[in-house]
Amino acid sequence: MNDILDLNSYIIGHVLFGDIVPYLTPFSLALVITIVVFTIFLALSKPELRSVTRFGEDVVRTTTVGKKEAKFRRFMTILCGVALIGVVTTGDIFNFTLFVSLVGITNVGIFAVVKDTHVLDAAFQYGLVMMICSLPLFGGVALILAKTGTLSLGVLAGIPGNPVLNVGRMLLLVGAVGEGALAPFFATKVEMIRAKGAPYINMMHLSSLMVFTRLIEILFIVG
Amino acid sequence: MIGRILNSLAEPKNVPKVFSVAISIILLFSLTMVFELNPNQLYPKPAPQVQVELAKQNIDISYNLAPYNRGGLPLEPDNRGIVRSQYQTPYEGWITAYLTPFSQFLRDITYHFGTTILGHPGGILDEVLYYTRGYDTILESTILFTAFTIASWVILNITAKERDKKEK
Repeated sequence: MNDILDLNSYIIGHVLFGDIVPYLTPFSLALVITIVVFTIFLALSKPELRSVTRFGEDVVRTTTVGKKEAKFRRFMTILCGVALIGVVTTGDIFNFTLFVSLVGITNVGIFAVVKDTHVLDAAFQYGLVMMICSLPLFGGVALILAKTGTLSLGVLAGIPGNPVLNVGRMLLLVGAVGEGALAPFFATKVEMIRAKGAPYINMMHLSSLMVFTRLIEILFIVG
Repeated sequence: MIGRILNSLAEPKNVPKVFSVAISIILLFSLTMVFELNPNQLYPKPAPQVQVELAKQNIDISYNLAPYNRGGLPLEPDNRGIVRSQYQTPYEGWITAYLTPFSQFLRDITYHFGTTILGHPGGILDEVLYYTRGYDTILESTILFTAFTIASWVILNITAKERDKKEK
């Protein structure tokens, strides 16, 4: 039984875009609509202006976000949305890893332009995690390719699981968890989210969610 | 005790260290597995040492490219280079044998062109990428240029500004 059809009752259609064919299922179509709506919402909204109260002082400070900074972060948010559409629709496992890398680097871009030291420190550590992660991410895909001889999810769906594929899946899981800043990395994320300019940092949560959803589907398809 | 461990994990500085240790443990365990890979992914060609021996017998000048000899002639559909790619195209193996005039000169005078840094397998990589996986090349350069954009923005607007402040 084909795993793709098992997971999402039927395939709506293939997007003939170049040599690698993304496909749409009812599930991924819902995800795409969510991403598009959310990205438009974020791109149109203005950055929040936050007041900071400190203990031991009788002052309330208001913070501002520079116009240039907001512009750059908006650009990175939109790029992240485009990359996320790729993540949820792609029909090729190597393209999936590339899109996840693009999501990771745009996430860093959203935070790299903030002028608070603790945010920059946390973003730097997250960047280190991402660099470490590229080894298991691409290594896992290389292992799957070397074992099965194909990268297409449609073909991989028909191949039964075996121990070497399981190692590849595990490496893919570890790599994508690091690139998409999923569960164990909330510590670095929390420091980064203390940055001002609220609407754009929501993109990071959305990207974590979407990468996670798609990753689970791919792990099921490959196995 | 547990509280102290959790607190140290909450420090962003410690996260990459813990993570890299975890990855190395996973990799160590996976190395003990018996790997049996798909033999169809290998290029059909003589072993590198055999190619070098053939080059020394002066049978065919293209053996001087050892170990990157893929055979074939450029832009000749009847005499293609040997290429194994994921997605087949009608133009497979057309430009595998292409060399720049300088590379041709080097190939003619020495047996060791393939093992120098000049003889990188760029031709074959480019062909496989552009003809059969063009989308990947676009994506990879997008990632690269996104990184450049971020770095240049930070240098122009944060680092350079701080330097100007110090000069004042």
